[in-house]
Amino acid sequence: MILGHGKGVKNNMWTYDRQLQYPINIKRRDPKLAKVIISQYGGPDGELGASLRYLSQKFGMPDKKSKAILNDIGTEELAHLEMVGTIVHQLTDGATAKELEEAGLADYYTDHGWGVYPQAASGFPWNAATIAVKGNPIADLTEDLAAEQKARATYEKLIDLCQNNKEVTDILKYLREREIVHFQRFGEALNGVQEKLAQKKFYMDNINQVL
Amino acid sequence: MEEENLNRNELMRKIMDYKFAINDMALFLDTHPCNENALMKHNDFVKKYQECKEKYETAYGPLSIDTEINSWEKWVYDPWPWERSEK
Amino acid sequence: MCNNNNNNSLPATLCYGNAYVPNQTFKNIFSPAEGLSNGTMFPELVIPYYPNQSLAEMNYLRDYNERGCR
Repeated sequence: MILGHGKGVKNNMWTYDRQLQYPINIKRRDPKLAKVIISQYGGPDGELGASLRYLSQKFGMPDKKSKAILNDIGTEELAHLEMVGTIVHQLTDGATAKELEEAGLADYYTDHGWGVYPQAASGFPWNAATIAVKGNPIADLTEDLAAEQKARATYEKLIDLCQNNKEVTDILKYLREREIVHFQRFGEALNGVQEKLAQKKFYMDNINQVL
Repeated sequence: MEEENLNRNELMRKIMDYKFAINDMALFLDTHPCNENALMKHNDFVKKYQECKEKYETAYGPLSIDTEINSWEKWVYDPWPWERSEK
Repeated sequence: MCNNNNNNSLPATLCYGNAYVPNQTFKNIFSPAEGLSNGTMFPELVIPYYPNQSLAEMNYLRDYNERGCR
């Protein structure tokens, strides 16, 4: 897992901390679940998209609190990316070709073996078209709110699909709750930006200049 | 410190708990930077986290590449967090 | 920077065309262990989920499209 701050010598912005954010030690292989869970690795509403969206939006964001939250949530999403990759890995690693085929993963096994590849459940490789960086604070923060809801909704679907496996659903429930918290933070950031603009009476001033 | 007699797993669990607390307080502080109460809690958790991390690293090996490392072998050959463990 | 302590849930002036989320105020927090287990340090942010709940919500919303202007 990754934390963007810390003491000591660093030659890069991120330091890898040798731990997962939440414990994952899945005792029983289950490739069928991995087939859908992988969507939160490289799918349209998954953690890779979330990290890149927030970490990219931060550059053009003028509001400081929003910049901070984009940086710090973006960093946390990388830790979640690792978690989802870990779940997929532990559910499939060591399975035989036959087991994978029976789980509907013959295609995936052909292209990736036991590897973890950033793709959606459908098999589509991760696509930057699923994220937006509009360079407008309100649009970007609203996009982030939508992203968190989509991620939450996806985790709910995965919990529905994996409901007979408590080991897995415990982790998915954790990740889902993080999305709810992130939504709250992006909402607070949006409140802040809107409040600032309202104080400036920006719209009124602009209208007077135009008329 | 209550973390005196913890085994490796228990100590790692404490580290994860404190690290999580730090992270969630940090996100709150990003949108509430003036909240003294939250800041105090954050710093309390940081102290506990650092104590546990130091204790763990002394006994079991490095948790990041930016701590002093006696033997790089531990970093390379110890189990990585994403690997299934036998326990 | 820290002299404007807005402790209200919502900004003083709400504008049309804007979306707002109530600001969270700091109350109690879980212990770190409880926090990790719940997915947040803040009890008021916990929204639990049970399998099939989202489908139940869909059905509920579908059933509750009332006509009439009571």
